[in-house]
Amino acid sequence: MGHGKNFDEKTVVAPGAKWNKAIAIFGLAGIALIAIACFTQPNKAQFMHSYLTSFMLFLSITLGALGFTMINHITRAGWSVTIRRVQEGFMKNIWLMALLFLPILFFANEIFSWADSRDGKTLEAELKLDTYHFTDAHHGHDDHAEEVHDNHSQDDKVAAPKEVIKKELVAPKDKIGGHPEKNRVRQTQEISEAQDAAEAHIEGEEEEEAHSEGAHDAHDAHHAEGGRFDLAHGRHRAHLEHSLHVKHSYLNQSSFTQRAIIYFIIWIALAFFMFKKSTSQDADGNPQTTILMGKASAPGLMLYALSLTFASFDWMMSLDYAWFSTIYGVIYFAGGIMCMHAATVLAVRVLQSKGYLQGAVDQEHYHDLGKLMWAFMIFWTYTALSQYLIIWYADIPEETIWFLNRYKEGWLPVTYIVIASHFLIPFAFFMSRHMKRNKNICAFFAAWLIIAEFIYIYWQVMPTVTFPITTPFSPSIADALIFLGMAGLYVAAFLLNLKNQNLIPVRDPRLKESVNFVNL
Amino acid sequence: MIDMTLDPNADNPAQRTPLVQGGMGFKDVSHAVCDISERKTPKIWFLCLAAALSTLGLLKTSILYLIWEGTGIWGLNNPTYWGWAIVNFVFWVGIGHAGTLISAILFLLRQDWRTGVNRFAEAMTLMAVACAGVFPGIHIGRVWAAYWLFPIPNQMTLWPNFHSPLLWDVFAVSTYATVSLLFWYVGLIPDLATMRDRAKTKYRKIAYGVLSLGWTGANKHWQRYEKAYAILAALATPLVLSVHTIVSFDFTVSNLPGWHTTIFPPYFVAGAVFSGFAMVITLMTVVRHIYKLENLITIRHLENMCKIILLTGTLVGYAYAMEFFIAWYSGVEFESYAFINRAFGQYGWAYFIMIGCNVISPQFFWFKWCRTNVVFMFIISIFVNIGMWFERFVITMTLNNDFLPSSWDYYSPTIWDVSTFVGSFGLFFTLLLLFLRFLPIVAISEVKNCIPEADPHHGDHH
Repeated sequence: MGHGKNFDEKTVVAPGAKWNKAIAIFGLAGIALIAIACFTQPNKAQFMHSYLTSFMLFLSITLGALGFTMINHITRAGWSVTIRRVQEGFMKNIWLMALLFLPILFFANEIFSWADSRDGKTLEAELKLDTYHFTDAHHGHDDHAEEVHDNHSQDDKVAAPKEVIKKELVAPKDKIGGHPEKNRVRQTQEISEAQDAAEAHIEGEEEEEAHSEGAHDAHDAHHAEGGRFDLAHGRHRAHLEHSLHVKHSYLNQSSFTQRAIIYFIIWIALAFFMFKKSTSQDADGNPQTTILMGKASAPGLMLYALSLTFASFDWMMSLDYAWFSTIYGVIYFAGGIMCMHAATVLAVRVLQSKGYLQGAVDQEHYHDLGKLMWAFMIFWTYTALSQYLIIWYADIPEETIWFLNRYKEGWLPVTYIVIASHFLIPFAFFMSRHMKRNKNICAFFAAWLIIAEFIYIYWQVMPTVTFPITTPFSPSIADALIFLGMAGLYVAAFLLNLKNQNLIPVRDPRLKESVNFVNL
Repeated sequence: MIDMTLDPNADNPAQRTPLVQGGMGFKDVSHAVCDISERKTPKIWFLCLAAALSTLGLLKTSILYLIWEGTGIWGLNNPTYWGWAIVNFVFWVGIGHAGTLISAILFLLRQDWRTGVNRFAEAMTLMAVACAGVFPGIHIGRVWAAYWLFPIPNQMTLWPNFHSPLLWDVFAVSTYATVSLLFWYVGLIPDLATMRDRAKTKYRKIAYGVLSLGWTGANKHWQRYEKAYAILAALATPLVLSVHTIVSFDFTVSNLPGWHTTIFPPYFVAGAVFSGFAMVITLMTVVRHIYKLENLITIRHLENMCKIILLTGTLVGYAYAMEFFIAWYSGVEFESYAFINRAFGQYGWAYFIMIGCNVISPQFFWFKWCRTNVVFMFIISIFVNIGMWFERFVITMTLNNDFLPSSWDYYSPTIWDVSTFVGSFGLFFTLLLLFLRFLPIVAISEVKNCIPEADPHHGDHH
């Protein structure tokens, strides 16, 4: 082992009162920005989706920190000791995330189209009325698409006069501004109306003449064109109903709430335990604490993996409740670890510019953080590309629709931006060792990747505001305000967590190793 | 001074357990490794080689009969066109993942303990990939046209389907084999030079002299060597992931229920690492005992590998659980059927062998006693080897109850299925025995780097 390098002991202690002002400023600014966002975005559903986007981003940083702290303990990592406390500060922010989750819980029915203010039984009962449709849907979605559609056309469509269809032509866009709740799956009829409107919309564009001629005989027209329009413009009604039906025991508000409580209990327990043990070692320097944290991390990581996976299913994948992907949790994990390293780089950079952590964190740490950031960016790409490639290749309509919905309504450029910002640009320009070892370039790419992950989550969440119809890409100032507001709260809570604490685990047995290590 | 007699199992977080035990110095390390091939060939080695060659003969016979008679000699039937050939292919490719993971990824993660085991694991990787390479070649039916697997220009302008993951497999596996071979060879060069310098006989001098490419141990040599090693490690890392990812694509890009699921790529990679480490443990525990390498391949090395087996086994368990959950959550009837049939259908027995061996048996490694008892870990590693073969078997046999009930069938292996598979072990062990006899089975120079005296600052203070 090398020796000789040392850190400035005065700069690794966080002040108490001196940070109060910053905490107050960041905290109040955060609340104010989110409040302003409320006024700028009157559409409740869209506001809540923006809110969910930022929430999932900051949650991924928090959970990334929790997971990576445990990974460090379980692998007996030496290099990362001096940056661990900063990550523990993020990890302990889980209390803030629990508070920020409350609006999502209360307004779940604004966000999740499977959620319904009525109790489950009524929904079940209502769906049972429509058993005729499920029975068909049960036996394969494609083959019977036309048949099912046929029935539904007879119910709703045949009688529909031409004027109604015309009126609905502009419906999808109107609904975003005006009555988002209209698109909720409250009544099965509404889905069908929306679907019909969507179909009419596309037909109107493509074959207006044919359509107006055939409007009186929509039955035949749909019989002939059937599945094509359904699949081009959203889900088949029967498929959605079927999905709601089979998932009802999982996707309903009470079990959603129960699961959320379990996730937060797991995360808060793990994060607070790890934080408490780590800071207690600062006082007593007991090496057994290190061993204990290592031992606790093994079962901790198992609980963590499962809770993170199901949370990502519940809070993001279920936005489109008919869609499913087994790798989804892994993608969220990969992005989270990447973002957490990015956040660590930013935090360390700012703390050092304020005179903290002198000598404790040097370019070797930036280099390693940069490597991990880059590596998990690649891992994210690997998982996201796997998901895309597998779904693209098999070409099953129920799955490809998730991507197809993000090719239209203005989302295609965003799709390209996700690929460029989350992979191509950082891949090419952050590969070099020199980039990672330069603190400022490293911090630049850290900020870049956090924004890239934000765009990626945005791209997943925002097209579902008017589910099952794809919401057109319509960025609003509220998206940015909520992001900045939550960032303010996040920084305030981070400073609050570390107030009066040491900024590195000063008596960790492997501290010397971390201060002295060099990249070869 | 670090206490060299420190108990390898002592858990003192402030101190890293020395990787070389028993107070061995540089010379002792060289001697311990080189002596294996310098001493007189033991009789038992000839006996083992004879057994391995006979088993290899079995493979040869099976392949010759296959060429003569056609794939009908296997138990293939209408829904199962991919029988044991694909199972064996994926099994061997999976085993071929441990070596490069240890050499490349653990190198990038600065895990010094890899030095004791990396050479052996890499060699094992190459042998496993060689065994794997046999199966795609022979299962195509017309073996004489095996070169059609490659996109070779021809006057018929016949090309393989570039959209097919089976073709990507050809590229992925051959690239992986090439880079792994290079990586292994580059790592061998300083050690081959050590063997050359110690050589007593003329033939050894010539052979090792040629193989060590004029290595003198000059500063410049080391500098370039280390750069080349790091570059190869960086190149090999994505390859470790890509090979089994593409193997998983063979299955998952289809729209078959039970095969088509997005978690396959990372799940296959985790499974491959899992099976590879199990095979390393299986062989390493034996080799270490026979050649008395306990001070170089310590209990700590083995314990670390057991932990990786526990981790990857649990990851595989996570993937099984996700598949099952999403099969239900998807609401797709066929998907649910495929999984329920997998667990409780005709092949339920195989499914539960798989779960028992892959998910349950590694859980013993939660206990330190299990991770540090060589006999116990050997037994568990055998279970894992069996379980991972069955995993591929289960995945392949899911096809048995396909969309048309009239074609449902049960795959019964024939004697030729079995003999081909058993024969592939002959190839594996023949290569392994040659490696054990003629090459340094532990990376001498890298292990020396882990001895405290190798640190330029050693002895500066304390």
